[in-house]
Amino acid sequence: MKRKIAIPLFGTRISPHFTYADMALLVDIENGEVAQSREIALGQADELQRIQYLKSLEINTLICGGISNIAERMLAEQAIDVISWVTGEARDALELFICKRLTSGAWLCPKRHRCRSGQSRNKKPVTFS
Amino acid sequence: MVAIKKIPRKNPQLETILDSIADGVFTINLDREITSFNRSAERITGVKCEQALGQKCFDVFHANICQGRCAMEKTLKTGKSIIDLPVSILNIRGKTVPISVSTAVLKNDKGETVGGVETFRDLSDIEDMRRELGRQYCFDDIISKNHEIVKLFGVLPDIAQSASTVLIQGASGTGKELFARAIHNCSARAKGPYVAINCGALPAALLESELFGYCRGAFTDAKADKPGRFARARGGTLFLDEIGDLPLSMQVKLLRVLQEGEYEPLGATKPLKSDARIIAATNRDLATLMAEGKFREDLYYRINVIKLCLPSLAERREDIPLLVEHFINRFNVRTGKRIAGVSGEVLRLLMRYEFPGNIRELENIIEHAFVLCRATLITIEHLPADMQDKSASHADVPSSEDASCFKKAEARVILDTLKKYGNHRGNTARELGIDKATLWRKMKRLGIKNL
Repeated sequence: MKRKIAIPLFGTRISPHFTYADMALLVDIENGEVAQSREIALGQADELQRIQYLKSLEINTLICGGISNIAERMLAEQAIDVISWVTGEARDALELFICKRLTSGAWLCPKRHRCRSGQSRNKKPVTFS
Repeated sequence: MVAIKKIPRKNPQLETILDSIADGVFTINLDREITSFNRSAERITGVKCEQALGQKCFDVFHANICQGRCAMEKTLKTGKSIIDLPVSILNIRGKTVPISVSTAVLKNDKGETVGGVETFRDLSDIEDMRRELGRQYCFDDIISKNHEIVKLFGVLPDIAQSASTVLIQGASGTGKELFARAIHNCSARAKGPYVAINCGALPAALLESELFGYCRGAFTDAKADKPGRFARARGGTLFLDEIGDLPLSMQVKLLRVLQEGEYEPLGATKPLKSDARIIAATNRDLATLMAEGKFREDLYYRINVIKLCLPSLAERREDIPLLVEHFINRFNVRTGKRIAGVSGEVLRLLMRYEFPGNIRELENIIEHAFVLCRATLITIEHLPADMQDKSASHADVPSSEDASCFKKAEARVILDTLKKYGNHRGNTARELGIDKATLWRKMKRLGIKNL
């Protein structure tokens, strides 16, 4: 199953505010593994433009930090799943997402809470191409 | 999933002082990790101190300046304090909160910089008043969890960005103008003027001069040119309220503007180009008016490019508690009172009331209660007399239909929030503004099990 994920960035971390992130990490996930990833510029686009841009990129899921209620509702209406108010490293969030353990409001601590399911334990760590 | 770093309480006396002040205060170390977080900071951000301590300040503060224009970073670099910088943050409920921040460096006994302190003041009340005065509403001001309205949120950005004519249909008091203003404020024409006119409030002759303006000498007493609403809305949006009440003679003239993009002020010899986006609204069914010959078919199809239908308040009862809270906040700001909410009995009465006047009527009811209420809780006796009568006639007999409707709405909100937070009850309770025990009791009562 293919999924296209976007994570607004602040350096290597998840951006604290969706509307003010300059960059986003785009990741294609196929069969539970990262098939492709790249960074894209979001520039000075406002909230509405960002939502339209993500829609045009056919994003399925947005993993983000702070986001306004209205933006979250608009994304949901564009059929983009939103996992919001996640803080920490984008890589950690992605890893948890792949093993279906990432939920909204998660405060991620890098050295804990790694994927513990048998299925994903033997998998390679998430790497970005 | 929650990583909490316990910071030892070093100076309880200082903490007590910090907790007693109305401004938010937090301190950070050089790694930008929060080392103290006072009670007002908790209230403004919605983040508990235990959760904030040890976290990066930007992960708690979610300010518009965190990425690239951080005030604290500037202060730590230059050593210079920043005073009252206006910024906005997102609180834990996803609401934008306007604040002003001040920053300063923290030094140890040797004079070495060991971190920074940031104080911030909630400017929501002032900002609310300013927005109300300037009517600078955006989509964020539309308060609803109703699925019909939420569906509209999905298309509003596209509608706002397009140049198409919009028709907003809904009963009186459903918020048609709020939607119109939000569409304008989020459109490419936001910097242009927003001009509104009620087509039902003026006789045809006056409406024509109001809409199109007139030239000097067009009629007796026309001693100077007067621009009409179309001219005033140049580069912006013209909101035509109650378009269903537009006289037939004016409908032809409006049709010409929409078709040709030009109009003639009274007494003018040359037509003027129109450059205003039209948003029309009506509480009447234009299709019926058309069938009765009271509304032109060609005009109907010209304005009915994008149609938004707003549900009545009775159709979105789940929004009543949210709206009550919103109006209480608004009137607290306006009147300087500190009313905390409404009693359970009042809420039950409001939940089963039909609201023929929709949201405007609810607003009036709360305003009425504010005048009479001297305590911190609005109770039945603060409501208008006719509502009190209804309360007496319905005393203790909420219909099974009402109760069921309320339960369903409550269950849906809880289930949606649980789903959003991956079944995390703590986050769900925080989002709903209740404690975990209350959430558990509600789930039990409503028969909600883990997803």
